[in-house]
Amino acid sequence: MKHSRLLIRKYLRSLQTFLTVPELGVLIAIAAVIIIFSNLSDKFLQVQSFAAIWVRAAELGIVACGIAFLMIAGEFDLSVSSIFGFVPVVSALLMRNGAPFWVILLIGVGIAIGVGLVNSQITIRVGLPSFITTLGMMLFLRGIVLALSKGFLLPFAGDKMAAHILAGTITGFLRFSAIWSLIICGIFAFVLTQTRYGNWVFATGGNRNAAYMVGIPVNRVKTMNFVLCSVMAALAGMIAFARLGMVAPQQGEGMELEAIASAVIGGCLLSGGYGSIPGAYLGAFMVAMIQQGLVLIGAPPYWYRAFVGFLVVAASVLNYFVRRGFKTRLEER
Amino acid sequence: MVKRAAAVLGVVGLLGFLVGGVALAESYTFYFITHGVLGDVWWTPVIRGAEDAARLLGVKVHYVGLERWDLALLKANLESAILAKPDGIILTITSYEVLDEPARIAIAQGIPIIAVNVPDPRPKGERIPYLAYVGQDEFVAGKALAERVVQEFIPKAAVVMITEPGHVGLEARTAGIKSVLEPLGVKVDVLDVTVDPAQHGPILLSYLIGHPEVDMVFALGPTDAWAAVQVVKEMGKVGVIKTATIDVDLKIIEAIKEGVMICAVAQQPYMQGFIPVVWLYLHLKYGFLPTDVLTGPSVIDITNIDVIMRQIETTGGA
Repeated sequence: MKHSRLLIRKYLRSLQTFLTVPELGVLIAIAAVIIIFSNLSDKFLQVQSFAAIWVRAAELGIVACGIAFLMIAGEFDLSVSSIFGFVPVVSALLMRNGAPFWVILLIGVGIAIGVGLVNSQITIRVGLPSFITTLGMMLFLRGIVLALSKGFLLPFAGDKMAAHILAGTITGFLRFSAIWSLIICGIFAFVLTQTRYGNWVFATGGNRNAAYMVGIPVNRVKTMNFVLCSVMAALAGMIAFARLGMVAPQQGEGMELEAIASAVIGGCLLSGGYGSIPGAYLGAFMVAMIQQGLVLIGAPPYWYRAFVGFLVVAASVLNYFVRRGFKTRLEER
Repeated sequence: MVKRAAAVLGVVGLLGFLVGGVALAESYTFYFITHGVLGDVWWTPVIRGAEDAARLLGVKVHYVGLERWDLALLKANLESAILAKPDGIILTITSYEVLDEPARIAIAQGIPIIAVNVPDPRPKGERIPYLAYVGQDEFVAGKALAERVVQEFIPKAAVVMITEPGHVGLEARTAGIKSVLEPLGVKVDVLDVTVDPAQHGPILLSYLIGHPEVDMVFALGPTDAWAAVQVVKEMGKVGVIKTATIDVDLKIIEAIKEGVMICAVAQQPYMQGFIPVVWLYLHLKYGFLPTDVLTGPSVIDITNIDVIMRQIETTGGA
């Protein structure tokens, strides 16, 4: 009798541990989406369908990893969507003039680092909310994109091999971009949870002053994360460019909110100090699942926004309970 | 715990309710995939045409527009549609660079494609092997417009307002206009009025002041047409400088009634929804081989405005 009671207690304890992972909200949301769409379409759970979803999610997933990393440090970045369009457009113009791919790559990364530095320095030194700084940057860069491209589609006239490495087909609908996105997610997740720098990120976003007091270079952490976030957006933009074989001046418009939604669905707090990289990645995956699922079941895509909007709130509510569970568990100790 | 479980169940239940009852079995299922951004009213008659044809024939048509202007999304939508293994796909070849690969996958899997609204401009051997194209030929549209103008009078000199020089469709319309006027010895200038509607009028006005011999203004779309009508009125040159345009709306009908505009050509979008569905049905059920159908140009002038008004009132556009 006593033995079985112990067993139940042990079982409850492990259940509680499971219920406190930050990714719980997004996992439940994904399960719900899978249940719904697989019931409505027998094509939803096929391997090819999964590959197509993964490729759809790859670019948003990379951007979401960068955004989540920055959000955990307590800031966020709306300009990712414009960088996502800006760097490919500049690259397309360089390709037209015959620049080799490594030069293009260097310039692209350089631009992203520059944008990240400007965003971070204005935010940190002037003390503006990053919402304002990056909103301005988003509009500014989009304007430049339109001016540079004169509103035209620009072809990917560069190295075919580079395009293949970035986003070439592996088999069926599966492309290298999906693999890259997973690797990036893995690296960010590792740095965040397994390194000292990851701890600094959590501390900077959780309680900036306390972090500063114990000697964490909070401004440098924020600057670094702004830069990484921009670079990820540039990389994702180049992948989209390679995948499509051209770039439209509208590329990425509206993506900033999808990326933030992915991070929030995946457990990130807008106020910083809490969140998960795999969660954000899964959030992007879920957004892609909804897009794909709605087409597969033949529902009008009008539902897409409603669906994502609903899930942002539903997953956040779940995440709230998860965090509360996390807190009580800490107090028990 | 119970509360939490109830919350989860509630979430799942509500989601199920949101999308419930969509899948119904019908004889054929077609996907109608376009670059029309949801909310763009130009596509309303197209969607209505497709739905009407589906209802008449007892087939299922899933219209998939773009949630926002994004060619990546268009490509992804096509790929998702292929995975749904429909009986046929109707597709705008908005960018053959982007759509070539998935479209060929679909055709290789035995899913027939009908191109609509925008064809693949490449020669027949290179282009995506779709069954047929339903829409407007932009060159023919420009030609028809100029031919109607020439019936009215032979201009001394003409100008074409272009919003995006280099745009394949607009350049083809311009070439069609020139193909009629230049052999008659009429000088045709092409004026870049930029994509900004606020600039169309001022640029045209400066041009007309500098070129008093020009007595014919061609517009290639609604915003430049409105500007042309307004400028001619402001200059007090109604009847002296004449105008004509491509694509029609109520403002343009009004200008034709007032005599500021000689004519307009329309591509009758409802038919671009209706006919592809009928073609696919006839192809699958009876083995018909679809041929290209030009839904325009229909030339609209003062003599047939009433007929066109009926089209606008019943289908939502012309």
